Amino acid sequence: MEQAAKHPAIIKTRLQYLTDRQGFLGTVFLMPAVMYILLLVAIPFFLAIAFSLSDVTVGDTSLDYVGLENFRRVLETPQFRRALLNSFIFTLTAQLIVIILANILAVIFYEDFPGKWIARMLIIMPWATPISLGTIGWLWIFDSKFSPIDWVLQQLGLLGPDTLLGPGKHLNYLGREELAMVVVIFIHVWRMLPLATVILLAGLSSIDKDLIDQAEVDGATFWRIHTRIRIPLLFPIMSIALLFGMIFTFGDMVVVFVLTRGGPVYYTQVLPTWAWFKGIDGGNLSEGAAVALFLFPLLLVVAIFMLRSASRSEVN
Amino acid sequence: MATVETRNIKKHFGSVKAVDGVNLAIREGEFFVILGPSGCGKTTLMRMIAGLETPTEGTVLIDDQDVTGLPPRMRNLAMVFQSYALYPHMTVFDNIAFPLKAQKTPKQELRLKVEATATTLGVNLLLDRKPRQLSGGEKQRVALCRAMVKEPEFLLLDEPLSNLDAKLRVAARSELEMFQRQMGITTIFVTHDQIEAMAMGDRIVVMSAGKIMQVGPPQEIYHDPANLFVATFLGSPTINLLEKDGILVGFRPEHYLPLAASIVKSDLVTTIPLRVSLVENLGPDRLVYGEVEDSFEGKTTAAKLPSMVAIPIEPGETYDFVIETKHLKFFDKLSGLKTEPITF
Repeated sequence: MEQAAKHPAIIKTRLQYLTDRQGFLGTVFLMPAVMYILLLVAIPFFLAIAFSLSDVTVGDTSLDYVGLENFRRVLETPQFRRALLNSFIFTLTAQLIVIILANILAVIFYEDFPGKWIARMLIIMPWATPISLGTIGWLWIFDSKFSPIDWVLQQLGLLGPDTLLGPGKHLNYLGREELAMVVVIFIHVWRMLPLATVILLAGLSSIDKDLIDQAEVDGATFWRIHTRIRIPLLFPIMSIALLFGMIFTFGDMVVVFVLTRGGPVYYTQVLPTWAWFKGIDGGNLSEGAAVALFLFPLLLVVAIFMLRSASRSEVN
Repeated sequence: MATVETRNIKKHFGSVKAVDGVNLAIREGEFFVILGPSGCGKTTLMRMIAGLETPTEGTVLIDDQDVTGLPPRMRNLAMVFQSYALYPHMTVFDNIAFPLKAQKTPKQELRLKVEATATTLGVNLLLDRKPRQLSGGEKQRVALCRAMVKEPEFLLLDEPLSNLDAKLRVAARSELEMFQRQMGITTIFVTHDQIEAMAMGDRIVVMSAGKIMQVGPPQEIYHDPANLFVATFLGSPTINLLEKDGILVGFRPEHYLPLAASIVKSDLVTTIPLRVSLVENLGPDRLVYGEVEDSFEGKTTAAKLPSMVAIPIEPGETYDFVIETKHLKFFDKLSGLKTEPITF
């Protein structure tokens, strides 16, 4: 009788303690992350490998193994080679500029000055703006006919017939190879700068103030303090900002897609956009997959460096 | 070597008056201690002398030259921070060499100077190490080495001993003191530790709430405090204060001894009986707590008896305790300032 009375209580207790069992809880909590990686990363990735080794197209979805044929064919096209080159040019140039400007901005924002908060907010805006919207904004600014920059230049007497910048009334930014490349790099810089600045600012704030004071007392000038104390101490976090920016820029297709769609001709094509034009727009899924997979080893190397420097800075 | 002077120096952070009109004249070769509780403005004062902080008002003079607006590197001083602030990414050698490199010293000379200074302070075997591989005491010496290598005109020390463990601190203290005497360098030492201040200082300035409370040699500060703050800040246990007619009568626990143990003539002592409530035997000393009777308000009073005084003292009993009359101090209750002696 007593035993029976206790019974439901025991069941209830067990259910209660289910949430105390680490094995069970661990599995439950890990599930969403595991599902996410499986469904949205692992499966598409292996699917892409399978596509790249087959002759699949939008019209013929059967997977027939063709070896490295797709890679060979992709490599032969000048568009691909230009896209590969552009990916490197855009990423490396943009990141170089970003890291230099971010250093300057971080040092400025580290100091107190009136209006710091508003300036800080403005600096962070490009990162908070959806990149597609931001790029559309820039698309208008660099419009071939209605560019406000052109208008300003005209008013200043720098653009138009008999002026410094030439007889045309418009610079036609996105229609000229070099200018279009410059604009793409510019927008990447505009977009990545806030994040790099915030990362470096966090790094700067974590440097013991005593070290800077000490260096000042030791007779170092601002420049010496910056190059001998701040930058070496910032180095681990700076490399994280750099590698993070590289992954972002390298894998980005929005800027080029919205701004130039790879044009003029194919001179601003990058790997992600070219993979899209080839595979989705052109329907040649297998070659598109092959183009996209060219990103993989590059991003992998960058990611490994990033994780290593991250863990190293944690140890220190 | 240099003299350092501050004239009516002030530093206000918003409405907080960290340093509020301080006049000091530090002599050549002097070991000068700035003593005070945390938040009294002593570190801010030192930072203004170093040039790390610009005074709101007033001037700083080094060798009678106004340096108020000059950055630290124009003042030829050296400083050791509480945290030692060794550059973590540099070896000990590079740490010590840093001030010389900033002066663009030729390589050959730089190496010689670093090694000579390192040998003086006994860190010459550590030159290839990184700061994180050093013990607390080693760090302190490396920091001192870095400070001394450029042969500064004066040395600022911001609580350089407080990060060391208790045992090491005493050794490091005497070491530092000897070093300073050897070098004869003008030294300003900031601390909140009265024992350090007493032990090391040629002169001490006691600060409170951004103001100077008293300046003088350690013995004067201790035995002849100018006001209640100084009297109570120094000494452990704190000075006994008994009230009589708006005057506070102070005497230090170690001067308050049982009559039976007193060797001073009876006409030179004042007797205040003590009803003992607690006895703590600390080894070298015995602390006796109790309440005085007589004409004072009943107030807890402490006596510190050296272990040589072996007279049995039991809680609950009343004993005659005496103070040599010259050790009595008198303060005005309202102003807190030292006043004329009263008799009782």
